[in-house]
Amino acid sequence: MGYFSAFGISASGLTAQRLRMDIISQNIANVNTTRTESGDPYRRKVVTFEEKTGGDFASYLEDASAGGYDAGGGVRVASVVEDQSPFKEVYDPGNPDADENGIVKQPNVDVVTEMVNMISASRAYEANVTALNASKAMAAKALEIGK
Amino acid sequence: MAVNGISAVTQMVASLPATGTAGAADGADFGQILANALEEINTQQLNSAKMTDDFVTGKTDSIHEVMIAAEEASISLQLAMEVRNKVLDAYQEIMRMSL
Repeated sequence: MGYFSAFGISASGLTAQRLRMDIISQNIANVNTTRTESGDPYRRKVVTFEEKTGGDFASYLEDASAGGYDAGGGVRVASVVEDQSPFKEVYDPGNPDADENGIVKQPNVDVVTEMVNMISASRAYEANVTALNASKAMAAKALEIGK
Repeated sequence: MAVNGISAVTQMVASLPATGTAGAADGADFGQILANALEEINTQQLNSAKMTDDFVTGKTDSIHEVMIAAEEASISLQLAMEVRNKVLDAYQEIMRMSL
């Protein structure tokens, strides 16, 4: 069933974009979190992806010698790292988290950037669904050969 | 001469059992292939039902995995139906041959 590897690739893309969307939602929800467990304000999280290879070398060699081509296994989340850019400093002496100078460190989350990333993740999700529907339509058309 | 014609027919009859056994051997392999394919289709159907149950009870929240498993099971079943139709057509074609 060669078509189902195409489904698996699109499925990994959908999972990756959903995780990216979850990270973006986490960043937006914590845009004003000035205190976390470690005492610092909330640091913006960033997720990085990497290509998931189709398998080990033996299966790749077997596919290549049989005439097939291994397109890969989709995408995988490489890591979820924290953005190390500096915190925003705001003068707000009335805040309980202000230091002796009245300066409060706010999280380094820029809502506009997160909204743009959210649109990008949402469009990438839709693109993956379109690719999956195209693969499904190809499989259905192949079944019509026998009709 | 009529005797030559009969000898030709008896030669044909003698060769029939050989093809009959060959046909039976191919049928055993084909039956195994069919059984394996049906087993795989059944596994996919069960997997799809299990994933739907997991999603409904809340054990997993990836809805696209559920939908993809359902689509795979549906396509496998359609493929099995098409193959069955082809096999039935071939069988009926052979049975239609007047002897």
